[in-house]
Order: sequence, then structure tokens, then C-alpha cells
Amino acid sequence: MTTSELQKQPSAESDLQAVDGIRQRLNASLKGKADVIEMVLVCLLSRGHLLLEDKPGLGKTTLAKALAESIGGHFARAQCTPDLLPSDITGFNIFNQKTHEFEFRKGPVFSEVLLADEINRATPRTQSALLEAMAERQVTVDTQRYDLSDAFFVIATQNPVDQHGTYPLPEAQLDRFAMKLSVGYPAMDDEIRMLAEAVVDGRQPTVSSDACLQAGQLQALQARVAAISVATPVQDYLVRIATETRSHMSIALGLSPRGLLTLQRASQARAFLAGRDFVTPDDVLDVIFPVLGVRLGLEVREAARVTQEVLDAVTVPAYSEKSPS
Amino acid sequence: MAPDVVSRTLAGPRSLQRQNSASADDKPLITSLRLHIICLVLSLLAAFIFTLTEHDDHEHTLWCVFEIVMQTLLASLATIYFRVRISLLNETGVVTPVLVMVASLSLICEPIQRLLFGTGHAFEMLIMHSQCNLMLALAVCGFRMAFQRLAVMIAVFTTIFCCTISDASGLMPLTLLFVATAVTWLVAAWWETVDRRIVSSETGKIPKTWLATAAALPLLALLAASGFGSNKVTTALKGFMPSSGGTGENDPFSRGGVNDGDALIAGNENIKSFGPLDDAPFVESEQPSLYDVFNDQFDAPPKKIKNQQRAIALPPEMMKHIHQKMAEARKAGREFSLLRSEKRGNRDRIRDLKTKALFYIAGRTPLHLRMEVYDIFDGMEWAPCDAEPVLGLNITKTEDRHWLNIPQDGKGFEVYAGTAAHSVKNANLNGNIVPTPAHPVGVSIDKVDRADMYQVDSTKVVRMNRDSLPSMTPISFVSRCVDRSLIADSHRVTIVRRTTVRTLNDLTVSLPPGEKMEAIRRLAVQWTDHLPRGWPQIAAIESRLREQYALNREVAATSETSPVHEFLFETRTGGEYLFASAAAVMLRSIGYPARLVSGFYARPDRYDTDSRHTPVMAEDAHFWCEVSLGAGMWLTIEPSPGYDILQPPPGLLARLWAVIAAIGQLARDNMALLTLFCLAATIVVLNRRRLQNMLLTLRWRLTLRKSPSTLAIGLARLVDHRLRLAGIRRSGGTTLRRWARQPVLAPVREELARVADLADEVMYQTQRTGQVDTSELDLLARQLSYSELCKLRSRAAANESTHAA
Repeated sequence: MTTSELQKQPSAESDLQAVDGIRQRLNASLKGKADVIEMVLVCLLSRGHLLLEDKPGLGKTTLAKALAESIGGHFARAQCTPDLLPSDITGFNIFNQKTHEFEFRKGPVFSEVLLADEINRATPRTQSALLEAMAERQVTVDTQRYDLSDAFFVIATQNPVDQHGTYPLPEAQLDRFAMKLSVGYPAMDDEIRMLAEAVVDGRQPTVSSDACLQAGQLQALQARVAAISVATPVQDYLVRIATETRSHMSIALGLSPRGLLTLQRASQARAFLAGRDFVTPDDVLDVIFPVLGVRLGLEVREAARVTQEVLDAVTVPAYSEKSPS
Repeated sequence: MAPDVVSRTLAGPRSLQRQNSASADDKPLITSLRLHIICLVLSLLAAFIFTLTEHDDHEHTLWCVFEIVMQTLLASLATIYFRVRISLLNETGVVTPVLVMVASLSLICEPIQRLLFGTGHAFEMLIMHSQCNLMLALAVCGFRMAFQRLAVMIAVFTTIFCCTISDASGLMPLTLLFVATAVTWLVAAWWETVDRRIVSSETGKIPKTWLATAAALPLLALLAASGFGSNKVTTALKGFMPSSGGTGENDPFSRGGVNDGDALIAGNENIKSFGPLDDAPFVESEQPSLYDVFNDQFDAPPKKIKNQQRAIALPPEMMKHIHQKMAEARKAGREFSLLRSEKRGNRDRIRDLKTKALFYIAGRTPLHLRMEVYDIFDGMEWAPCDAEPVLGLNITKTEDRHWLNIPQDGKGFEVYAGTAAHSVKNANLNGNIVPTPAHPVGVSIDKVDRADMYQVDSTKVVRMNRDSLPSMTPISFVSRCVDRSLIADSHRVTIVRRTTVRTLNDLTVSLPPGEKMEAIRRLAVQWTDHLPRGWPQIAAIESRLREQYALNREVAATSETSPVHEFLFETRTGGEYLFASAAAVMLRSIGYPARLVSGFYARPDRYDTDSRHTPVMAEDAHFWCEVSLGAGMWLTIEPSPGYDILQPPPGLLARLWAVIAAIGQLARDNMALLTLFCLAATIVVLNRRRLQNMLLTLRWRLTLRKSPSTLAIGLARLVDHRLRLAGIRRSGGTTLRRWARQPVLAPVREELARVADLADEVMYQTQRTGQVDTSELDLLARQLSYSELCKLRSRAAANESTHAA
């Protein structure tokens, strides 16, 4: 994307450098997936949660771990299985025989980055407990409320192939995720590079494990994103898209107001990453596929086709001398 | 049902429309069987109503019943067939061709029917037939909502049309039934779509372009029609439907109409002008009238007529009708009296009308109307010989008229092509001679059923058997038209050449002796010597006079011995009487019987588009010449330039050819202007995109006076327009920056993205931080020029074709 001098002005230099650091770290971990990593960053900055749907072995966990390291938070992983209980996610009270008191053992949700692997294998009850934590950023155990980290960020994965014995996430719960992404197979060159790097030759790994962000910097970045301005024509465009999804014949449940807010926030994050302090329709178009992909309740390819139909039906704001913001 | 509901039902819901026009994956929606049946019943009812209307003369009741039964059977069976094979038919594109075929069936069959059986339908009934068939076919194919809607619209139109024109007995109950069924269909159709309405209540976009085109096309057609000839648009379009004989023709397959067709309708209220109306109300006046309303079965005439002439007695019932009608009119305060109207308002106008024209002609022009025939020529004067009256005239009654049969001449000559109908209405012509067209077949005055009211002599000039012609009374003629191309065929006609006077009739070849006559004869021989005997020689004399001599009424003959010689050899210019005399004398001099005829010439350029008549003025008095073809047939020869002879009624091809010829003539007359226009139009058409670009660029540059911010947005719009003009139009659902990712735009991708950046900044940035550099905008406008984009486009096309090869 071409960025002008004018557009680069608004974001603080240090913020952009920090984001660049994360980007580089992720690129080093997951080769040839710059576009996916860009969307992961959008998701992170828009304070949303990410659903990765892809086949096993494509780097979902690697990506989650690299992200946790780069933002400097605590990384936790929950391998979802049918026997996973809600308390395994949220934590539980245990009786201490020495003190004769119940003390709370924190579950994996008490982390900055939580990888919920194969989330669709957990029972709906467990899924529900996790999704409450995602939406409210808090858990309640035995009437006691525990706040989660402000930077709490969930990367859930699910395998689209092996559907036997799974519990597909209902649309209402899918709406808690900001985006759904597919990592996909890397390109041939990237795979060769990956193989070359996997040969142990005694050299030190080039990727640093230090955090790219200082404490509280992520929240500051997220606050800056939320302050990116959105002009009325763009908001009108967003609403027209939402309306179109609600009347489209192939979509049973259109974009909810919560989804619309998410779409706007993701667009703001995209504008921030582009170095602008205002959102353009291009930002909306950049993020709309993963944002709608998690909400329309359609298979990945079908969702892409329907989203394209929606976009074709809604005209982008026309350049007009009469309505500059 | 509320009107909005009706309109929404007819228009269909947005969602349904979308579903019907969805991508190829989506099958069009199938309507329910219930709705389909209602639609079919509705269409059948409309078809019944149309069938009843068509046979409202009750002459073909059995055929009418047969038609209705067949329609019902065929439509029902076809519907069952279609419903059974609905899935197959719905997916294939077979339906539309079938509909087109059904709709054009009547139009195809009509010429065959006319040719083979001599029967046919009026034009509007033919169109209605076609439409009715289409309606039934659409109803049969009503498994799609679009077809049903169209079928119902046609059904409604058909019913309204039939109710307007017919008074058939069974029409009213059927129409009521139709209305009830139509309402049922509306309710059912609305109910079927109500669930989809709940899901989507989005309003559809109005196809403005198509609406504008649809509105503009008739306008353009009117403008185009008004472009030909000097008449008004309405006159130019008159006769498009040949029902009422508006063109003066009589289509044998047309229905009776109004205005100047077969059945002329008289006004009886606020009459300010007159036309040749056969059933115009007659009032008793002091003027001598043909229909002086008196009856010897009753008492004396109600008013004393000063100048009583021969008149006919109207039957008692007619008398009663006229008196009753006038009494009713008076009761309503709408008195109609030409005498009274002369004394009151509009006096000037009516007087003007009377003083302007001697008489009026309805029918095709140009027309030569014969008044007097001169046979004897002494070198200075023409004199008529006493024509023998034709005895034993008889009247033939047609449907509603009485026609006087005029004995036909030229029996055995196959030179006639069609007939012509004319009406003469006297206004100020004195005398009892009726201006008569050549080759008359019959003459008729409404209600005149006695042959002794007429006099016809051997010259075929018709007179009324009274002192003067009745004023305000149309006299209708039917005459035959001569096709000169048939005369030219020497195998058909052998023109007798006579040199000696044997009988009184042979006076038409006699000439006075003298040197000057001999000189004229030599000139005639010189003109015709190289030609074979017969028509070519006659035509040569006619055409020579028309081409080589000039018409000038101001020039009078001064020679006291031979004006014709003076005209032919010295002045070479003169009035029509000199032309006609010269032609007659020359023809006689080489042995062809010829005579002079005086009368009137109805000029086509005098045709009044408002009254649809051609007035004949005093200055239209005219002389021409007639030549004998033998067997008593005299052919009109028009040697005067600027005067034409009535041609046979043209056929369709001839009319088309005439239009083409007229256009060609117009083009020839304005060749320089037309060439210039064509050249300019070609340049504009070929460079229309370039011109558009120039105008748009100019407009953008003019915005320089405004703020640079608007200039940036203007540049984005300009680039958008240029992309469209170059054939790389951006789709509405994508942004300029994304559109720049098209492979064809790769060389200018950066520039396009920069334009989008600048415009986005102005458009969406709430707190603007920088100023737009106008020089940069200027540079971008040059880099993204129209020609550059065109080059990219053609380069991409060339690459594509290379790849394809």
C-alpha cells in the first residue's frame, strides 16, 4: 500500500516501531504469511479475539505463541477435548488443608494470550465458559468474580476437516470473535526456507524471544486505534453493508450491531497500521472478509463468495465535492 | 384493496425480483398452482370477452362458441403439460422463443389468409389478436411470476379495450366476473409474497436510464415524423392505423371509423366550419338546397323559399328525425343554424371561408376536375361541340348509398390501376356543372336515389339537373386511375391515328389550314419522328412542352392569327391554356385526336391539415389537354410544368420507395449542409470519448478557482471518468485504489493509488493537516491522461490476443 508523507504523520513513531517489531517477529515465526499476520495485528489492535480455522500443522499454535511472546504477556494453552470442564478453563477453588481455607487456582484464561486449541472439540458448556470470559474479560467462580488481564487475547483454532465428535460453535458465540482467518499452506519458496532453517547447524536462532511491547503499551495502542476518526460517508458505507447482509438471500442472519461495531473497530485498526488517522473505504474492504467470515455462519469459500456479492451490491462512497468531511 | 398494495403486487417484491434475476445457480421462483390457475382463468375470461367483441355482429355465433371452447381446451391442456414438465421448462430457455412465436402467429397468418381466402382482420383487431394469443401463452407459462404479471396486464388492457368498442350482450356479466377474478388474483399474488416482504422491505432502484430512454423514444419518433414534409406531426402520423381512411384510402379490411373515413360524423354543436359530411344536419334556409325539407305528403314548406328548384323528397321517417333532432338541440340551447351563425359571432371567419374557396375536395390530390371540354379549334378560339347526353342512367344501391352509374369508356383497355374516391363540396361555385374527375365510375349524393337528378354527357362531365349546385352538400365520386406505365406498353394499347374527318367526333383531329399550322406540324414531327407511333410520341410532346417551355400566367398571347404558333416559336412562355392548346394542336397535327379541357386543379400544397380538405380557389382554374386512346377513352395530358396528374394509389412498396425518394431528394437539395453535418457527426461519433474527456478535463480545470481540496476530489472523479471512457470502468463496489490492482493498470498503479490517497484525505480526514499541492495534481492528471489509459487498454488487449493465439 502506498502511504504518503501526509498520512504517516498522525501515529507516533514509537508506536509504529513497536507494531513493526511484532510484525517482524510474527513474520519470522510464520514465513510467507504477511497478509494473515497483518490481520492478526488488526485483530489484536482492535481488541478482538481471533478464530483460526485450518488444517493441523499449518502454524496456528506457532503463530499464537509468537504473538504472546512479542506482546510480552503470559501465554497459556488449553487443548480442548470433550472431557474438558469449565473449571479447567476458568480455574477452581481448592481446599487447603494447611490453612483450612479454599484457595483459587487460576485457569489458563488468566493470561495475556490464550490459545484454545480445537475449540470445537470442547463441550458447549466449556465453550460457553470460555466465551463468557472473552466477552466480559472476567470469570465468576463460586460467586466470586475475577477480572482478567486488559490485554486478554484469545486465539482459538478449529479443524474444518475432521468434524466427527465436535461441537460446532453456534452463531451467537461466533459473534464474540472479531475475525476468522485461515492460515493456508505456505508458498514453495517459503517452505524451502523453512526447511533450510530447520536444519540445526549450530548457529544461534536469529529470532529474539524478548517482548516488543512494554507493559501497558498494548492498551495504549488499542486506545489510539479506538480514537481513529471515521467520516460520515464511511459510516454510511458500513451501515449499507450491514443492511445488505441482512437482506441477502444466502445469509440467514445478517451483521449484528455488535458485528458492525467490530467491523468499524477493525477498519480503524487497519487505518492505524497504514499510518493514517482516518478510515477510508479501502480499510473496510481490507478487513471485511475475515470479519464477516466469522459471522455469516457459512463455509469459508461460500462466505467469501457471499461477501463479494454483498460488496458488489453496495457502492463505495462516491467522491463528491459536496461532501468532504 | 388499497392502491399501494395493488401496485406493489403488480411490481413484485424486491426479494422476489432478485430471486428471479439471481445468478445462474439460483433457479427462478415457481408460483403456486392456485395462483397459476387464477391467472389462467383471468386470461381466458379476457379472451372470451375479446372473442365476443370480435363477433358482436352475431353472424358467427357457432364459430364464436367453437373459438371459446378451443381456447379453453388448448390453454388448459398446455398448462397441465407445462406444470408437469415445469422443472425442465424452467431451466431451459425454450419459453421465450415459444412466446415470441405465439405472438407473431396472427401477424404471419394474416397475409396468407388475405391472399388465399380474401378475408382478413382490421389492423387493430390483428394486433389485439396477437396480443390475446400472447396473453394466453403467458398465462400458460405462468409458473413464473413475471409471466403472470404480464398476462394479467394484457388481460386488463384487452378487457378495457373490448368494453370501450363493443356493446355485445354477454359482455357485462363477463366483465364483472373478470373484475372479481382479477381482484382474487391480486389478493392471492400479494398473499404469496407476503412472507418475503417481511424479510425484505427494501425499495428497488428506479432504472432511470431505461425510463429516460423509453420516454425519449416516442418523442424522437414524433420529432423524426415531423421532420418530413411541411405538415404537422399529427398529419404525418395520420393513417398509421388504416382504420378510418385518414389517408383518403379505403382499406377493405378496416373497420368503420370517424373523421374523414367511411362514416363521417357531423357536428351538431358550435359548428364553425364545414366539411363534406354526408349526414350533416340540414336546416331549412332560404338558399336553394338540394334537400329542401318538404314533403308532398305534408303541408306546405315551413318557410318560403325564394328560388325554388328541383329537390328530392326525403322519406317521412328521415323528416321526422331531422325535425326532432333540431328541436332537441334547440331545447338544450344549442341551436344550430348556418344563417344565424352568420349573423352572430365568428361572422368574419365564416365569411372568409366562403369567400376563399370555390369548393373543397376530400381525397387524394393532385386532381384535375373537368368542367368543360372543347373540341373545335379554328386557330384562335376553342369551342365545345354539343355533347350528347347519356341516356338511360341508372342508380345502384350499395349498403347505404345510391350511386349513379356512369357508363365506362375504354372497355378492353387494361390501363386502369385502382380507383380513387373523392368528395366535392361546393361553396361558391355557380352553375350546375359538377367538377368531375377523369374516368368517373359513379357519383353519389347522400339520400339522392333518382337518376334524373343528374345529367351526364358524352364528355363524362356531370351536371345536376337544376340551375345550380347545392351548396354545403358533398358530392362523392369514384373514379378509375390510369397507370401510364401500362399505356406505355404498346402491346396493350394501340392508339388510333386519324388524319381525315369522317364524323362529327373526328372534329377532334381537325385543324385549320395555313402555314403556321404546317410549321407546328413540322415541329411536332421533328419532336416525334424518331419515336414509334403511339404513346411514345404523345409522351414526347407532353414532356418537351413541360421541359422546354416556361409557365407564366402574366404573359398573354398577342398574335391575332395564331397564338399557338407564337407561343411555340417566339415567346416560349405563357399560361396553361397556351400549353394545353399547343399540346392539342401538335397532337392533332400528327394525327392523334386531342381536345382542350378546362376545369380546376386541386393543388396538393393547398391541403389543409386541420380540416383535412383541399380548398380549390378561383385561381386554380386550369386548362389541360386530353388525347383519345380509342373506344371513347380520353387520357389526360398535362403539358404545363408544375402540374401533376393523379397517380394510381401506391402500394406498400411504392409508398416506401416514395419515402426513400423524398428523403433522397431532401438530401440532394441540401447536399452541402448534409455532407457537412455527416462529416461533423462522424467526427463527433468517432471521437466522442475524446471529446467527453476534453470537456470533463476542462470542467476539472475550471474548479481550480475553487479550493485545492475539491480539486483533489475532482481529479479522482476525472480519473474515474477517464477509466470509463478508456473501457476500464471501475465497478461501483470497489474503490479506486483496489481497482488500480487490475493487471491492465499495472504501469500507472502508483499514480492511481496516489490520486486515491489525496482524494481520501480530503474526503474522510476530519482534521486536515496538510495542503494539497496543485502542481502534483496537475502532474497526476497528465500522467493519467485518457490517451495513456487507452494505450494501456489496447496493450492489454493485444497481450490477450497473443496469449489466445
